[in-house]
Amino acid sequence: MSISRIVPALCLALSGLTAGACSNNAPQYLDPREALEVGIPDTEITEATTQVVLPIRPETETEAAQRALLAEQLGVEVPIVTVEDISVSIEWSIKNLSDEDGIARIHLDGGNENFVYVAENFVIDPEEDEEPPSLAGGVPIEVPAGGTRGGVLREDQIREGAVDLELITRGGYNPFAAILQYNGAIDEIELPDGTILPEQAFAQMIQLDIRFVANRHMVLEYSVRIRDQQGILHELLLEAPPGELIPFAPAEFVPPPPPMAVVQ
Amino acid sequence: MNRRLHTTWTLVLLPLLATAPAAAEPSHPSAPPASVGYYAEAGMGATAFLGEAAPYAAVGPGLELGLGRDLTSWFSLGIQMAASTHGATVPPPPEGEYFQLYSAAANARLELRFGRMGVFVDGRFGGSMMSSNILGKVDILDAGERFSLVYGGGAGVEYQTENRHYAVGLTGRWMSLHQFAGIQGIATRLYLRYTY
Repeated sequence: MSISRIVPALCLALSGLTAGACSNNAPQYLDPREALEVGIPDTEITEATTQVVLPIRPETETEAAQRALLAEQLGVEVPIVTVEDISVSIEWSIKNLSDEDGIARIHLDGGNENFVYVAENFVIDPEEDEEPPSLAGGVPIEVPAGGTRGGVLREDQIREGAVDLELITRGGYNPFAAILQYNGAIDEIELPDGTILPEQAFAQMIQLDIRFVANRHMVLEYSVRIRDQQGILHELLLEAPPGELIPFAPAEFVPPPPPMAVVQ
Repeated sequence: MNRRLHTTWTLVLLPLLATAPAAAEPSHPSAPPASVGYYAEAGMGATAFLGEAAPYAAVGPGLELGLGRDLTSWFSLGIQMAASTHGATVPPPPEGEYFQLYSAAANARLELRFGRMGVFVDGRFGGSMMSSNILGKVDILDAGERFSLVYGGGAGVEYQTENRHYAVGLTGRWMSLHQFAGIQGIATRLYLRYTY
């Protein structure tokens, strides 16, 4: 084997090792170190909720300037955290502590940096209106007595939840229409004023509201997995000092009232 | 009778003694001297963690590349770069996840040769990086921790091929990752070495 063949082969292998080590695609895990427990004997507790806010570091001046330039080019507001910046998934494990089979549900709602989705806000007449579904999850999960089930709310599911949130809030869509249709592949949203919201300006969910419901004594443990393509997470993750994070304050989205019927 | 026996043995042994020097001559040339100079090395094998980290990180395949120079026929200095991938067996969730360990270290080696075979010991010191913080769930990594000093040593055997530039070897190494809660590991590698 001649030197002329060995050196390029070694360089290729070295570059591969270096690229792998420097990749921003490696996942980071937010481990809140908490468990949601429901159905405790002698209690009426059938659901428990928790909230995880992603620890996003402040923008640099360069990043802010780039975002402003992109907003000018697209003609729409570009959020700080878009669906292309980070990919979020939630891995969960449910343990049934009772001696009977049970059914559990994990509902994921939450918000982006502008709006928080609250399904109850869309119920005008509780006797007639059905509460809209959650942005992700809500599927019944059978857990055998004394058994454990594990699963994932995948990146594409949470991304679709973020897109549905944009459709409902900025797009003015009915939540049933937004959530029950598959919107994972759309690359633009037409806003009510005719403006086109492109995919680069879709806001990602930065507030994860997890609601755990079960009909037996069960415990939910979870871990949030994030692929931080743009390096926007604070390096200390959930242990970052609050003063070193962006203080997002999304507003609870309240849909506009329906138009009054005109009686003639 | 004794004289006849003595003569018989003399007639039998003399030819044998006469041809013995010829039989001792090697039918193949002796092992060529191993090349001494700049070297490049590539190896693959397995890496496992010991002690505290063992229950949380599975044994995984590893790849290693090295460059250096033989200062003498028995002492060489170089740089080794390694990467290995491991299944994370932390209490779920998460489950079925993997992480990678990358390292780059300066390496010093002492070798003794016995013909084609050689035995060596080496030591290394450098830095390492973990690709994710999944081991933070079991407090092996602190928040924000991804880099660590790494040091260790090992030994191995090497066989020089007919071509004086090539050698193959088998090595085993112990390492300690200081900042990662001082966890330890062992790595085995089968490698090919080319010396210019």
